[in-house]
Amino acid sequence: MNALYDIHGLRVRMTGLADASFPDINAKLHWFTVPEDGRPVDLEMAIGRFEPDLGSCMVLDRRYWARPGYLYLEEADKGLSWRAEIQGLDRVPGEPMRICFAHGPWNRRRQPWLLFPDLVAHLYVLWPVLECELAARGMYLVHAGGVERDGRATLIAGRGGVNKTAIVADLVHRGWQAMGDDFVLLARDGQAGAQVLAFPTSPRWFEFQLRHMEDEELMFVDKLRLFWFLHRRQETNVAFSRRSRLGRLVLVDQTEGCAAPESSPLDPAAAAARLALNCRMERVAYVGHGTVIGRFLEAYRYVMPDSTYSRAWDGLGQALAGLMSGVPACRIVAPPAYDRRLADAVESRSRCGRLDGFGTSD
Amino acid sequence: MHGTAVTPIIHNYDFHGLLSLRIRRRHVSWADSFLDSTFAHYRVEPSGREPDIDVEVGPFRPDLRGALRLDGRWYVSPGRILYKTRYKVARWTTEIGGLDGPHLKVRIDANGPARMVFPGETIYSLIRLRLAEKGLLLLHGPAVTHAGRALVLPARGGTGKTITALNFARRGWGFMGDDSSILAPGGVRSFVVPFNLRFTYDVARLLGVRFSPAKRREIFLKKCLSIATLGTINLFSRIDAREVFGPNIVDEAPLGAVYVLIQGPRAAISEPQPAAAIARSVLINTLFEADELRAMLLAYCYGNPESPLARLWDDFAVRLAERLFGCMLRRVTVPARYTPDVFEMIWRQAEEDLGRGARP
Repeated sequence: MNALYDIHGLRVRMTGLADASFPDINAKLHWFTVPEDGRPVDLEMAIGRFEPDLGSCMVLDRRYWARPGYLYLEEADKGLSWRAEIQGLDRVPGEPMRICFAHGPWNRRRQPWLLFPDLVAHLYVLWPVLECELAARGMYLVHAGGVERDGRATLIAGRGGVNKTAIVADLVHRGWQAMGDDFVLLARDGQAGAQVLAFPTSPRWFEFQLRHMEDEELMFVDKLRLFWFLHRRQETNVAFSRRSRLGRLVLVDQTEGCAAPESSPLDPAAAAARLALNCRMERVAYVGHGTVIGRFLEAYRYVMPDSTYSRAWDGLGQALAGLMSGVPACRIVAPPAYDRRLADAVESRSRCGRLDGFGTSD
Repeated sequence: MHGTAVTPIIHNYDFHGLLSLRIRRRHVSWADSFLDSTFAHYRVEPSGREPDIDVEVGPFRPDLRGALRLDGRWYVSPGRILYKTRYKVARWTTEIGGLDGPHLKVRIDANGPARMVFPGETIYSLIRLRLAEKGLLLLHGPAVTHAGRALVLPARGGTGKTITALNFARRGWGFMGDDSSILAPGGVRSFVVPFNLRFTYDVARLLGVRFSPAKRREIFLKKCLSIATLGTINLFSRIDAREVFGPNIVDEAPLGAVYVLIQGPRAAISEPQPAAAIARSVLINTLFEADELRAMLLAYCYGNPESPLARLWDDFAVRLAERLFGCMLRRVTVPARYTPDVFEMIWRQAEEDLGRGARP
């Protein structure tokens, strides 16, 4: 199965994808699918067996093989294993990059056909490359939910488990438009200011959340309902707003022993620093001890220290500080369990969307 | 085997007067011999001063009130972090307090297998962190000395660091550590810990040392096991570096040269490299060894973005480039099959680079 994605101008083609019964729940880029047009792409990923060419490669940890522009890797995490080769690192602009990916023998067992077996390829190999490719084009993938109203977007940032999806779903019920529940893209908007570009990672899951769930606790009953929901394959009617001006940032933190959500203003520079740390933590958060997602890019720079490949992403903190300057921000401290008051707090903080500085809205 | 009420066993360590460490443990078990032997070269008598890092090993009940919860795995509050780590069957919980002050208070609750893992992971992380805060860089790579100056050999695991360092020692060079070395403002300081050897090469014959009878028996059994299983089971042996090198150990020397060893198709030594490029490779090499510290710092700084620890790696990179400036910096490509010719090549170049600087 092949797929062509157009991520706000970055064209990605995937070939050899496994047939999944419900590809729209776990295929992270499904929302960007466009019909095949045969034109060249920026990034091509082929899933299936391949033979690496390791001639004149430097070896690191018997896991990474690198030479100028080329990287081959053999990695494993949590019982999954994979091999991949990347051609076209440090290429001249306009040339395509090509990734070959092969699953280890046990991956299908750990990631059954029902869901999306190629999730491994997305999370561990494609994602860090995508982050670098987007950053090189001035679009920064940030780990935050986004909602929009009247042409102004509010970002809801926080670590996994702070109920970003539930907050976004609640705000959609109140008339906001979603832009992404887990990730959005930030880019420069004209001379000053920043714009938010939609990046919905699993719209069907978001739709289910919107219709049937109050929080993010997925009980057994919910799983059955989710299965039924996906099985009916109804046409989706959740519309995502494609782009909007960045209006405000709300950072959500969970604290043990906190009774009700409390908000406090946050300096835009501090907000940008937290947002950058949030993106960096995504690379170590859900992997086993001793694994870092995207380590292969570091391995490449170990051998080729002059490479500029991941430099745009390395400068994430500075780029976000530039984009966020003048954007009002606040921090909400919430208890670990979700309740509606959190969405209330986010909405009351976002309602006065004018750029009149923080702390003056209530 | 553990958990009985015993008087705590307290060990004090001091690294060149730069960093002091105290480890208290409340149980007695064979698994702890690993912890005891790791920093044995730096064991000292109690000084009465409060140590830079105070580690208490044993079960404890964490207090999480008011702590920020990140990914259900890290709990962060000002100056404090608590996290759980799993590696295969090893499981341990670490609580680090005093991150905003000069003295770290650490509590570690580890299961049996974890007691063989955390000394090399968590305690290394703490040492690396405290040293870096003081401007001392713990690099991953052995250091040897010749003509009063040090040669540091950063490399990834499996490239041939240990065999290179051992060969240098055989030629009478000073030895400063097989796994890591400390790059301080004035020069290199030793970091001697027991080293893990797989007996694919015969250290005893190479260096002409005689191990203790118990050690010889252990090595013999492991070799038999390796031969019987056709090399499938090839166990490590921990060797006390002092037993092997004894008088060859040098504790301090100014930095003369840095060779980054990389495994590649054929043996080669590069021309002198710019400091920025070598610094980047050395930094990445060190970061690869510091996964736990990296993740812990990210989590801590996410909760405390104002903390100076947020700049730790940036400062590390700047200092590293500064200290490498003016030294002989090279990249050495080492083939997968490490032959005596490879060492001969490195040795000749090193002799020339270090000897040249020693001349007036």
